[in-house]
Amino acid sequence: MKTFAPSIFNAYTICKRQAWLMMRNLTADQDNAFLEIGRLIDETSFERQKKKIFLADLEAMLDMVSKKDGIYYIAEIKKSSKTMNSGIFQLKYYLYLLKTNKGLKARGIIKIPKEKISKEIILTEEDEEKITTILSEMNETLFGDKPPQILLNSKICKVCAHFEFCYG
Amino acid sequence: MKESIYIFSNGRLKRKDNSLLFETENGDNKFIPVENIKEIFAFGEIDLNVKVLNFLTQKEIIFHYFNYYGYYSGSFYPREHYNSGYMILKQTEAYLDQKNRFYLAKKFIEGAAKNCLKILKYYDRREKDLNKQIKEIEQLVTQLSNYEEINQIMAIEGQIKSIYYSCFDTIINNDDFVFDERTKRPPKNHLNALISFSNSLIYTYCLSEIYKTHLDPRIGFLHTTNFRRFSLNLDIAEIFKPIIGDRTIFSMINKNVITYKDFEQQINGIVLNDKGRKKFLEALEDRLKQTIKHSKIKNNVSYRRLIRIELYKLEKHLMDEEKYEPFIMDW
Repeated sequence: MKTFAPSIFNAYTICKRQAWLMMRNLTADQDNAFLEIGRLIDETSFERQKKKIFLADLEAMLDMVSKKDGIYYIAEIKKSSKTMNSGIFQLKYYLYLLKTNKGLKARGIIKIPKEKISKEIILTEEDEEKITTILSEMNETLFGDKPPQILLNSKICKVCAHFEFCYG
Repeated sequence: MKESIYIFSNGRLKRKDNSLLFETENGDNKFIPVENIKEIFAFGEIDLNVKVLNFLTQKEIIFHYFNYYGYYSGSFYPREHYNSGYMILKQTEAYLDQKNRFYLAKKFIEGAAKNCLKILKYYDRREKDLNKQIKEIEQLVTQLSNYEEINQIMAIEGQIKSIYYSCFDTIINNDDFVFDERTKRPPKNHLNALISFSNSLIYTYCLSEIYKTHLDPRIGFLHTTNFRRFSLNLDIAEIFKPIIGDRTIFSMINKNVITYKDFEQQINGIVLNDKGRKKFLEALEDRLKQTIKHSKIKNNVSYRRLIRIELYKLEKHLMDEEKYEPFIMDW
């Protein structure tokens, strides 16, 4: 089964349509204010520790990686605890990719600089099953000719950089 | 919000550290805050080097330049940053599919004509008698569906435009700005000079917006692709020329903001002078920033943004998701 870039996996869990668009490189309007805020937080937090690591074969951009007592820790930095749940899931997907594609066992840490939160995350068997199910669903949806429908009147649409594209 | 920068003076554009610097002929230095620029319009004689072009590419800024007479010369179109092989294929597919290309070409003409009608009706309500011309154009619009070839609908478009232009004298009613006939390259009178300037600006605004999408400006549907560099911007501009450009022209002349003193006679025709160009750009810029309530987005959207939304609609058409319908003014 084909695995997907974490960015697409993450998008899929929020909006299938966005994932479909991203698959075709139909990126959203990069001047969108929310995207700019995100970029700014990314640029200004953890300046000293952060070493962005891009794993080309997994198309994964890891925010921080450290090694303690022989175990790798992958950190994911998020804007606020509002996106905590999707952030945790995204991190679990990194761990899943590392495990299945590279045979590497790692743990995760989720960090929210603004709220001084740092939380350890591990990948359970239950998580793995859930991820596998989503991946097989993605394999069906994302290769279809037509984009999945708009989540009409959804709250998340209002802050999405694809908003004008979908609703215009 | 990002701004458009208009440069009228002569001088040199430089990259200075991480920003842009404009050095005028008489030695004045002006920093241009690069993060806030949408695009640059250059009307003066400007020197620049590859360092600046690289910098503009990096910052994804289009540089439109105009010659001494204010005619559009060209644009520095930086390397594409919104890349999607998928969309390019879809756009090409639609161009090569006669039926689909024809559908889009017709929609651009229909959109342009209906927006022209909105304007005529607006002035008709203000006691300019345009009833006859409105009827004629409406008649021609319904005829559009009978034709199956680009050349035929182009001919209908020509007729619509000429009726539309014949109304200008009634709308303006000012001896300094008689329309007479549409003359381009060079425009033979003041009004034609204004229309030409306005249209060329709208082409460039559309080009700037296309740059911010996954569409390729070289593939148009109404205007033939093969013989010029950019043509999609000309297609999209058809929709917006009346509602953005012509409306600005009418209101400026009718309010005496622009007068015959803002023009000069050159060997080859009449052109706006520097002061006239500045005045017109200011008014056009105001119009572009003006917002209207968008019926589908349910929010206020600027005229400038409407151009982008039009392109998104076109993308959705090419993706075979939603048939393209042109934007028509509400009032």
